[in-house]
Formats: sequence, structure tokens, C-alpha cells
Amino acid sequence: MTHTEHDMLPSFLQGGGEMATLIAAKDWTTHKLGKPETWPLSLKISLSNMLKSAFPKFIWWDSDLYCFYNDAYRPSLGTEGKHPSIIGEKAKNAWPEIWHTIEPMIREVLSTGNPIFRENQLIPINRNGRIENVYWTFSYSALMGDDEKINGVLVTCSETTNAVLNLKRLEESEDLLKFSVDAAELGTWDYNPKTHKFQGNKRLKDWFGISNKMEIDLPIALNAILPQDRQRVESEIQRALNGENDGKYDVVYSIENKTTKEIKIVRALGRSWFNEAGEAYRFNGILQDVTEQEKAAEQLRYANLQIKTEKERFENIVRNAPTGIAMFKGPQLVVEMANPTFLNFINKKPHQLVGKKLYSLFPGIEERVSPLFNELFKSRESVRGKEFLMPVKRNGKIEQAYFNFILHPINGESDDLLEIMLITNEVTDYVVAQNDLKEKETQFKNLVLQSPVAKAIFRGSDLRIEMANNKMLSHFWGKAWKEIAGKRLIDVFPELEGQKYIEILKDVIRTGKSTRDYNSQAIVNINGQQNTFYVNYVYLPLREIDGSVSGVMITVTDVSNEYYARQKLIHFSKELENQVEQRTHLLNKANADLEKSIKQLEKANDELESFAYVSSHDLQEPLRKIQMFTSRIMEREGDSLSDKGKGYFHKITESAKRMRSLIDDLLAFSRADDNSFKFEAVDLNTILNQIIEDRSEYIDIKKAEVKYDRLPIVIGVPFQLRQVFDNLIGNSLKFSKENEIPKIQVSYFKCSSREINKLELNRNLSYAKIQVTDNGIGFPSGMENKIFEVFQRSHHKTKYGGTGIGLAIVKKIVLAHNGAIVASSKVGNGASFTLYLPME
Amino acid sequence: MRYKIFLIDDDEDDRDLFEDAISELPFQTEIDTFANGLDLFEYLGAGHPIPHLIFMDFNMPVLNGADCLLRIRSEKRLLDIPVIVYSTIIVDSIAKRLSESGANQYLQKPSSFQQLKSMLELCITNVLNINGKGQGKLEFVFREM
Repeated sequence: MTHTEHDMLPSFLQGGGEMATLIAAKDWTTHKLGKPETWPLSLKISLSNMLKSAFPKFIWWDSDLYCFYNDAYRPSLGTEGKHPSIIGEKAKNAWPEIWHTIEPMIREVLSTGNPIFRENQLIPINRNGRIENVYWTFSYSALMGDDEKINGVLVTCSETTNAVLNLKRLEESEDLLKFSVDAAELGTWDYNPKTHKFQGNKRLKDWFGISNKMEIDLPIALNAILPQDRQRVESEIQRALNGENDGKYDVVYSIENKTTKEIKIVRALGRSWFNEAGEAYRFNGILQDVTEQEKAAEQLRYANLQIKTEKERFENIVRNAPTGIAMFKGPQLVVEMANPTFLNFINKKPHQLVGKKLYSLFPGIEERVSPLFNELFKSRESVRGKEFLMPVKRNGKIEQAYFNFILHPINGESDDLLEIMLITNEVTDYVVAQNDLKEKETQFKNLVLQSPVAKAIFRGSDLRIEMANNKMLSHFWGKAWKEIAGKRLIDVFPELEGQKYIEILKDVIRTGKSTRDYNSQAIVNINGQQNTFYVNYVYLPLREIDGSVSGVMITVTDVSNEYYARQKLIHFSKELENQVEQRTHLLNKANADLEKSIKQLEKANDELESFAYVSSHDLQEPLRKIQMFTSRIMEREGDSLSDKGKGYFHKITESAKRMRSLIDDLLAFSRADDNSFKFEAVDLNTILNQIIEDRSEYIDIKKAEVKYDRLPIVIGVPFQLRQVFDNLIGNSLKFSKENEIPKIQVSYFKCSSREINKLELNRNLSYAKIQVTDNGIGFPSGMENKIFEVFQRSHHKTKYGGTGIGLAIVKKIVLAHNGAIVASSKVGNGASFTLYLPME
Repeated sequence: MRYKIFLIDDDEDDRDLFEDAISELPFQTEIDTFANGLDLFEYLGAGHPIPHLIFMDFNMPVLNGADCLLRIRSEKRLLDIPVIVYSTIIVDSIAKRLSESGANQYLQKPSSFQQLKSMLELCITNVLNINGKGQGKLEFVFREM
């Protein structure tokens, strides 16, 4: 059949391939060109050339531009579309979608005859059922008709869609790469081993601190690498160039930008390329800034190390902790771990514990412990146990040990996985001490409660009654313990408002200083009655372990009775004081008066004394002259006087004599208590001897007997004592009985203290008692005191003579000697004078 | 031997009696009298010779016996002249004071001329040790008998 068809083909179509067949097969009868056999020769030749060409060609013929194409062109029309319908079709109808593009070019060729060449031009065509973007490289050239005029266009074309698209994809891929490199902040490098030149992108050069020249020498680039890394990098490069590990290159090192001194850690990745001779001709790759990663990695390494250290430390702590630590797992509470302290607490070895269930180890504790574990499992929070009693076998015997502990949940998403850490401390000593303390506290409390002294304890700044003993309740408060326990003091005793006590108690708690007071008034209402107490109290601060004061203990003693007694006494004393004051006032007045009198008296006395002296002297002068001149008259003119005259002169002489002795005595009296004389030891025997000797003439005349005992030594003024005894003995001689021999006895006695008291003598002195006794005429009883007064005479003046001052002088001297004199007598029965004189 | 004796006494009667009594004594004397102490010192100050013995009243105006004595005992020229204090009354306290001040005798003016003569004789003989009869036979205080 092929042969037949072939045979049927016109000659110009023969050897024209499939398209020649299709042209021949088309019904041309109604076509403007008519049957192929009739076509012009120029057309037949052009078609024959075109159909036999292996290069895609196309012909538009005649003014209507009827379409013809060869087998090579055929694929460009795709599977569904123009082929083969556009054969013989008008171009305008065959290519409507591109007509506006190709018509100008066709018209230009038809009109000018000049060819047109376009490369890779996009001319989308309808094929494969759609408009496709198709790239063409083509030429339009003119075809001559039989009339040698241009009558068609030959198109020689090649579809370059794949090439163009490939090129585009390549460009896009390059862009993408560049973008990636930029986006990843990568440096790129490229080294030519033959030239030793090195290239890099701007970023890389910036990093290396090298100028942005096109090419640089490798050693300059290597110079930026820190010395400690340089050797390593160089050997890595060498390895890559030598083809080791397929020429792959991967190295991390540090570089320094010499200008900015910035140091970066970079990772270089790349490979070497080899030619057929096995020589490396290129070595390129990228450089990544891994400073942050390296730092992070360093930190991570450090953190890991720390974690490791911490873990070791933790394990160490657990192992060495003085606290017992153990771990349990799951609801069965299987022991996972126990530290030595814990093992020691319960006196077990690790193998006895680890892997065992808690309750199987210590069945006795389940009842008490399981609620705690249950709570922990439920709440997933720590639970605590205090002073937990756990009998432990130690040193061969069971001991009651006490523990405080904490159970702490760890890693527990499910109950099975829940780990429980037990941390425990033995507090046996504390609990035992605490129990002891409680026992002692109870004892103390009992002691306080039963104390006969009222005591109470208040707590807190609002003074709540914590304790009050029986004495306090019954005596002071009149309340039952139940009424007041735990109440505020001020609520129980509102009457304390306005009294000082609440403030003082608060002060004790605030300052921590104890306070006490005596005879303090306290008013308390008992059963509606106001009671006033006077109390001694002590408030002692009660301290907590930290030293803070939490309360106060009061001790109160009722001293009301003593207080009232004292008040009475004070009242009485005051009364007494008043009276004493009044009396003192009177006494002072009397004293003042007395003093005034004494002063007046002293003044009078002084006056008297000076008067006495002056008068005795001045009185004696004229008296002496009277005597003197009287005696001169008697001597010279006596013979011429009558007896009567002589008698008168005698009386003058005697009177003058009497007056002289009177004046002498007065002088002596006035000076008797002169205290300017010095007291000395005086031997009375000597005194008496002198007197007897002085008076021997008189004694002889009187035929008197004077006897004296051995006398003592007394303290006094010698001439005054002499005057005393002279006067007394003189008196005894003078007042003797006419018909009886005068007997005078001077006796010495010890003086009793009774006498000293009676005579109101100085009790600090010892006294000599000396008695002068005579057998003379004596003096009437009742005169015992009178005879010591001046000018008091008991006897007739002329008969016995004397001045009447002698005994007054005696008494005055004796008194001035701190002594005393007592006289006693009966008329006609002698007189006795008893002297008391102080001895040494 | 003629004894030069001074008497200082404000009492003219006593001066006269003293001179009368001295003149009757059995030894030769030469009496100079002064009414007070100032006159004495004026006289002595004028370069007159010092006496063998001075009698001096105790109670005198202007310069009393005690002061006079002290002044005599304070002058070297008069230091060794015996001084007899001559007074109406004897006071023990004064006696003591005079003795301490350097008086040789405390003599009471007597109440009769005879006594005056005898006392002066005893005194002068004693103090001046006339005929070997002195040397302290008399007590310091010499009272009228």
C-alpha cells in the first residue's frame, strides 16, 4: 500500500516524508490553489526543498499565506491543536493567537525581501490543548513565484524553549545560591592551587580584614588565622589538596581582623576539584561564622561540667550529710537509696534496705506513717512528721528514738514512678529533754500552785491570765480558776483601770526588767465589794528561748495588817513629834532665858570679881595707912596719951584688922571658883602638915588635939585646897567648948558609887571621902545648908569672931573642884564636915 | 658701903614711910624715889648710875609694876639689879607671874611701921646678902605677919 500511495504521489512530493503524504491526501479541489499537480513550479520546488529538509521549516504561500510545514517542524505543534488541520490553511486563521506578532514580520519580508532573524523569542502558541510559552530562534526569508516576484515566506525555525528555560533556571539557581549565601551570612572562598591566588566575597574579606581586591595571596589570608590554629588549618588545606577524604575540607578556627581586632570563630567547608590527571585545579567552599555557636557550645560544656560537679557534690552531700536521707519509689515505697546517716539511725546495712518495701522492713510503723504517704501521693506536696517514735535496736537493746522528718515528692507523673525523698533528723535528746522539762514544769507549776505566797502568770501584751495559784485566787481575787483562765486581766478586774498595775506589768513585758514595790495600795472588787490591800510585790519577766519577753510572773504578799499598824505608829509618832516639838520649843525658850540669865550672872560675877579685887586693894590701902599712921602715933606719941586714949587707939587698930581680914576673905571668895588655876595632884598629908604647923601657936594655946589618917592624893589647886582645910580646922579650933579639950579628927574613907550617885557627882571620876570632925559646940540642925552661905552665922559674932565667909569659900572651892561637902551636927555635940574630892 | 636704892611708887605717903623706915635701918643707904616707871627710865636714860636694888609698887598708873619689871629685865644694864615688887595685897596668880618675869621678891606692904622696918631689913639684907645673911632664906612671897 505504501508503494501504491507512493506511486500515487506527484513527483515533487515524493520523498517528502509524512507531511508530503498528508499534503497529497488533502482534498484540494475546492482550494484556491487547486490540485497539487496544478500548482506553480516555484511552489513545487520550494515545497520539495522544505519537505526534504531535516531542520524545522515552514512556508506561507500566496497572498493568503497558505500554511505548509515539514516533518521536522511537526513536533512544535504538539499533540492536540493545529496539526494537521492548518495545512493549506490561511496564516491568519491558523495562528490567530500570535497573528499580531508575526504579521508585521511577514509583511516586512513580503514587501522588502529582506530576511528576519530572531533568537530565543517568546512566541506562545496553542498546542497540547493550551497556550504554551514557546521560545523560538527563527528566520523569515522571501520565496519567489513563477513570475519572479515574492510570493511566499520561508520560515526556518528551531524551538529553543528547553534551552531558554534551562538557562533561566540556571540563573534563578545562581540567584538563589547567592541569596542563600547572603542570608546565611556565609563567606565564600575560592583558591586556585596553580596560581596560589585566593578569592573571597566581601564578607569574608571583612572578616579577615583584607582589602577588597579581586585576588589575594593565600599566605596573607592565612595570616588572619590565630597562631594557635594556623598550623592545623594549613595541614587541613594540604590534606584536601592531596585528595584525602575525597578532597573534602571541614575545619574550625579563629581569625582576627587586624584592623578591628575582632576575633571570630569560623568553620570552613569546601572541597578540592581535580582534573583527569588527578591534580587539584580548584579548592573552594564557604566560611561560616560560628563564634556564637562555639561560645554557646563552650557555655554548654561548662554548664554540663557544672551539672556534673553539682551532681557529684549533691551525691557527696547526701552521703556525708548529718541528716538521714533516703529515697522510696512508688506506692510500695521501695527503698532506692539510703545514706550512711540514715542507716546509722536505724542501725541497718544498705543491703538490708535497698530494694525492700518500707512496710516489710518496719511493719510496726505502717499504721502511723501511711496517712502521711497517702497525703503526699494525693497532694504531691511535702509532708512533715514531728517527734516520730521509732524503736531502734542499738548496742544490743531496743531504744525509743524520736525523729523529725520531711517527705518530699520527686519526678512523680504517675504514682508508680513517684520518688519520695525522706530527710530526717534524730531528736531523741531533744524530746527526752523536752519531756524532762515538761515534767519539771509540771512540778514547778504544782509548787507555784500550792505556794503559800500568791503567784500568777500573765502572757502577752494583753496580759492574759495563764496561771494563778490557790493563794492568789482565794485571797486576793476571790475567784475560781475556771472563771478567769485565759482571760485578759483587765476584763477580769475592770477596776484595775486607772490603777498603776496594768501599765507596770506591760512595762515589764516591754522592757524585760523586773520591778518591785512595797506597801503598794491595790483595790480589787471581790463579790461586788471593794477591797483595799496593801501589798509587796515582785514582777518578773518570763523569757522565751530567743530572749524575748512573753509574759510576767507576779508574786504578791499581803502586808495590809503591817501597813495599818505602821500607819497607826506613824500617826502616833507624829503626835508625839508634835508634842516634843512644842516642849522643845518651850525648853528652847527656857534655855534661852536661862542662858540670858547666866550671861547676866556671869557679867555680874565678873563685875563682882573685878569689884572685889579692886575694892579689896583700894579699900586696903587707906586701911593700911590708918593702921600705919595709928602705929606711928602710938610709937611716937603713945606716952602722952591717957589710958582711955590708948584704949581708943587699940579699938581703932582692932577694927582696922577685922576689916582687913574681911576684905581678904571677900577677895578669896570671889576667886574661889576662878578656873584659870591649873589642877594638879595634891598630897593632902602635906597640906594638913603645913596647916598644923602654921597654926601650932593657936593649937598650943587651945591645947587642942589634931589627928589625921593617912590621906590620899587628890586633884586640885594646892593653895585652894589648903584654904579649905585651913578654914575647916580653923573653925573647929574656934568653935571649941570652953571646958573641953578640942579634939579634931581628919579621917579618910573610900567613897561608894551609891554616894557618888546620891550627891550627883561625876560618875567618871573616883572620889576621896574625907571627914573633919570636932567635939566643939556644933550648930543647930536645919542649918546644914545655911552655914555655907555668905555672912550666915550660927553663933555670936563678937564671941567667936570671923567674917562669916569662910564656909562659903570652902563650899565654893569644893564645888569648883567637882566635889561636894556635907555638914552635920547637933548643938553641943560637935560638928562634922564630909568632903568628897576627886582622886587620880 | 652705901647702898643705892630706888623706890618707884605713885603713893607719896608710902614713899615717905619707906624713906623713914629705910633711914632707921642699920646700914647706909641712898634713896632715890620715882612716882612712876617712865620717870625711872628717863632718869636712867639720862646717864645716871644704876642702883643696887629697886623697890617697885605693883599698882601704878602709866606703867604698872609688871610692865616695868619686864622692861628692866629687857635692858642689859639693868638685867642683874634685884627688883622687889611691893604691894598692898598679895595675889597668888600675880606672884607666879612676877616670879617668872624675874622679880626677886614679892613683898606685902605691912600695916605697921615697925613691921615695915623689920620686913625691909630682912628683905634688903637677904637680897643684897649684907653680912652674909642673904642667900635665899626668905620665900619669894613675903607677907605681913
